[in-house]
Amino acid sequence: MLASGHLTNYLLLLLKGLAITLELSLGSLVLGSLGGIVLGAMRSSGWRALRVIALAYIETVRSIPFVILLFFVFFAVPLALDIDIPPYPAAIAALSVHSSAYMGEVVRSGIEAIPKGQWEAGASLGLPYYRIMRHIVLPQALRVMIPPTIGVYVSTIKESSLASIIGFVELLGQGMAIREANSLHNTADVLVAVAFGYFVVCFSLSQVGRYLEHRTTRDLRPATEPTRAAMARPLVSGRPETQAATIRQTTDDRGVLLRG
Amino acid sequence: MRGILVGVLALMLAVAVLPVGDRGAHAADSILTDVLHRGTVRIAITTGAPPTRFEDENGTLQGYDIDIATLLAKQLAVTIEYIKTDTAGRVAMLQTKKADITIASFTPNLERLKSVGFTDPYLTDVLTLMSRTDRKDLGSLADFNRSEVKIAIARGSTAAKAIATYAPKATIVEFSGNADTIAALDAGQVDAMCSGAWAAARGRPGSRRTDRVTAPWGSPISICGC
Amino acid sequence: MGLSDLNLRVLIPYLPVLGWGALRTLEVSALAIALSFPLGLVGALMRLSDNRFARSIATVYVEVVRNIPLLVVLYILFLVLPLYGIPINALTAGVLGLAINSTAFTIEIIRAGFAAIPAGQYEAARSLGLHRLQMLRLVIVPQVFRIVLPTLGNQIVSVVLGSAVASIIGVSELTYETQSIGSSTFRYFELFTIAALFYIACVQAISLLWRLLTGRAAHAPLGT
Repeated sequence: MLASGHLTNYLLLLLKGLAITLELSLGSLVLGSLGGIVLGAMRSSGWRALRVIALAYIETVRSIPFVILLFFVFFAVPLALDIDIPPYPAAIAALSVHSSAYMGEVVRSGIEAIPKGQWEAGASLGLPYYRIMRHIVLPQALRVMIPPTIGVYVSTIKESSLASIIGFVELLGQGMAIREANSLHNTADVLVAVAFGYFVVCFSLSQVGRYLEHRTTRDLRPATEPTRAAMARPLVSGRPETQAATIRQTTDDRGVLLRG
Repeated sequence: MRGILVGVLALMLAVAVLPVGDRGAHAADSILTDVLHRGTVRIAITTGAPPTRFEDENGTLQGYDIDIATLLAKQLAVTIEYIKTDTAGRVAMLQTKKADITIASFTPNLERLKSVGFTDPYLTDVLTLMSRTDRKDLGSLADFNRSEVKIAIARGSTAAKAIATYAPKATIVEFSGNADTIAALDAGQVDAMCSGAWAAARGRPGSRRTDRVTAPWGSPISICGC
Repeated sequence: MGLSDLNLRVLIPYLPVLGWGALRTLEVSALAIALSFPLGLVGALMRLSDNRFARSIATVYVEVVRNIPLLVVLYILFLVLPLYGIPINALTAGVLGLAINSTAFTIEIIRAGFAAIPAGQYEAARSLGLHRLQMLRLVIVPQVFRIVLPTLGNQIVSVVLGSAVASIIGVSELTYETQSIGSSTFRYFELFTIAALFYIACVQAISLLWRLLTGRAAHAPLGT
């Protein structure tokens, strides 16, 4: 059975670990978001060189596991550059680089979702590129970017758990340390508590994201998921012969309703 | 392989790093001169290894290794600046001159001698194979030397070489730290773990040494049950 | 050390080990995908079903697994299950953990695919007298398939990259072997560069192949 009584002793330590996880994630996300904005702007800029550089960076970072990136920053870079990188800066650096690549894509698709007309309107008002971005495009893009951004944030918080393998003691690292100190007992509950901690943080963040999404989007499209009533209601009325005729006229040979 | 020597002071040999030159003529840029000039010796350590080095409730560093370091500093009439790092980081810090020396479970071997220098050892530890006491089939060293036996070690430790020598048929599984090796042993995912005896005994007040096997060159590798 | 000390030639004797690791990576990923895609479809159907019980199970599963780090899942499978008498080795735990994780995301992907089907399709199928199962099989699911294929390609890539986390519980895939060699040779820079290049090549190849294979299907007009 799960060891009882142990958990309360270490709840405080786990909460400290949770705080450290949040601190690590926050720092990385600030840097990552800034980097993402720069990258996104580069990706949608008019200059090919900037586009290519940003694309290369984003594609490279998104094509390697985060673990490899983390190990590279922590083990490889210090040996190659003759510097020392302790676990905390290494973790922040790796998380920032990783999240900036994903944020770059989010920002890019946000910017490209803005119709060209907005750019043209801004240009016709005589505004320079920077001003158009700042006052016209980005505010609108931000609305579109919220859901995927929250996704990146949640993903980063989960990835921060990997910092425990380079010796940085955040929530998971703290949990494992507690388990080690009590290795003669069954400490399964500690891991469950750690899982619960991540769940609470990530789930809450997703809910915040969903709320923001609601508040900033006007529902322009009708609901596409059919209601159960709609599925039960026959589409065509009348006697079977005329029903069949109507259906033949209005659907193609796959049974797909042709829209007029 | 010789006896497993643990707890060695590592001094970065200037030879390995400085260009070959007329060393005799100039005042050598040795680490020692730097330290004396600076008035502080920077020591890279890993913590969490009682009783040789650990932090007590107030966060003060304690332990045998710390005592040795304190003695050294006193002799040199310098102060100590401890830099906490991990196993892999120690070598990097020495090589990049971020630290002057390291005091830790640092076994001298040829591989490491390529980049760092060692002093004479001041403490001997024993590499221990630890398995659960309900494993009656793992009593002697020969029992471990089978391919179905899985032994967990911490990455980068000298345990790999020892196992290659004494139980070459066993399967080695590497984990990132002692915490994970102990966890794997507890979960029964491995049949044994191999580490220094200090690390193995830590946190396991009930463990007993069940056997002590002496290998041909007089080097001990002990087996204990937990 | 320094950048001038980089030397790839010393790693040549280790290339076979890295090769086996790479193979293991692909093996683990393929197994996890083979498990999670069908389960993902089942889960998506549960998520959309009329049965409140099935709906809530699927929803809870998705929400819980999506918000817990993969490493935590792996640790629980590898270190906790054995304590309760369930024998599981590192490889199984790795594949299972990856599959559990991937299933949750796949369920969401497929569910979104269903949501993108216009209501008219359901109505038309219904009006033709098709039962729910027939409707799904003949009309809805083929269209969902077409819609979600690109995103499923992303999910495959995600699984391949996620396999690296399994190295921590001792699965001898590429990241594990890279670290193992690194800790004895200290040639971390060269090694991790090689590993990164393999993953990049793998991911780009998968993306390219996937686009080629599904491009026709994804862009074919309805009714052909």
